[in-house]
Amino acid sequence: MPLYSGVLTKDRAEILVKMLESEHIFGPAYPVPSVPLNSPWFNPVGYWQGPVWINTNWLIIDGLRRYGFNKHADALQESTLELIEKYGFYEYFNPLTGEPAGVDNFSWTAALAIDLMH
Amino acid sequence: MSELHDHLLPFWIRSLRKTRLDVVFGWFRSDVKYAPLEQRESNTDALALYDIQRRFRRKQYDFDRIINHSLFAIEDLTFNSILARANSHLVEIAKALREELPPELVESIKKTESTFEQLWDPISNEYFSRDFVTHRPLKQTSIAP
Repeated sequence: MPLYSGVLTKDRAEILVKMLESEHIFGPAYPVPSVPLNSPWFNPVGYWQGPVWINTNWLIIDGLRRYGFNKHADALQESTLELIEKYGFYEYFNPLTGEPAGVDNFSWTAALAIDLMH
Repeated sequence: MSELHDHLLPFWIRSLRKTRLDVVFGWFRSDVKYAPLEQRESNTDALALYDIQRRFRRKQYDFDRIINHSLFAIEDLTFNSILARANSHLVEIAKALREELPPELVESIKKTESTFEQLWDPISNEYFSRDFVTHRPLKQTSIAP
């Protein structure tokens, strides 16, 4: 999330991007999990304990672009839209399987999907 | 949340959890009508939020009184990331309008940026939120870093 702030040095940003790339930390099949996969608290459907949220992905995509990590941003944008296309405007998603969780017709998921498509 | 801040939970909530009586509170939760309980906050977390709301109301939402007693008060990394970005937008808007920002606001913006670095942990190589009073980093990795 500090990527979104825009106040980090490029070196620090690169360290954070490496965490996003790691399949043991923040890089499962459907990134970005709210808690890293190697955390004892990780729960793929637990409320803010692992699932993918569209709003946090939106912030990370924006931060990646800001620091010039455009390929990473494109890949994350694509996987985020894939989740919505497959399952709909759910509140959050399982980062391992992509399956939806929480409530359907969640307004910020819908609003940010429109933004990501443009 | 409760796992991370167990030591800060009020005694009555810890007691309810220990005796498993928090399940009774769950019967009155309206949010679990729309999604399964395992996909919402735990009963302990929901009770903690209820307790915070009670405290805020008792202090009439006066910010100084709220942070005077620091239960649950943290310097949150995500919040400060969004604040730093909002500050930069504000500077751009002021520039476009050819308006000068008040000096105290400019100072405050600089302070946000410089203190942000204090949230960096050189050992773990990541950012953490920290305790508002002790400034101790809350070393639990999440999406925030």
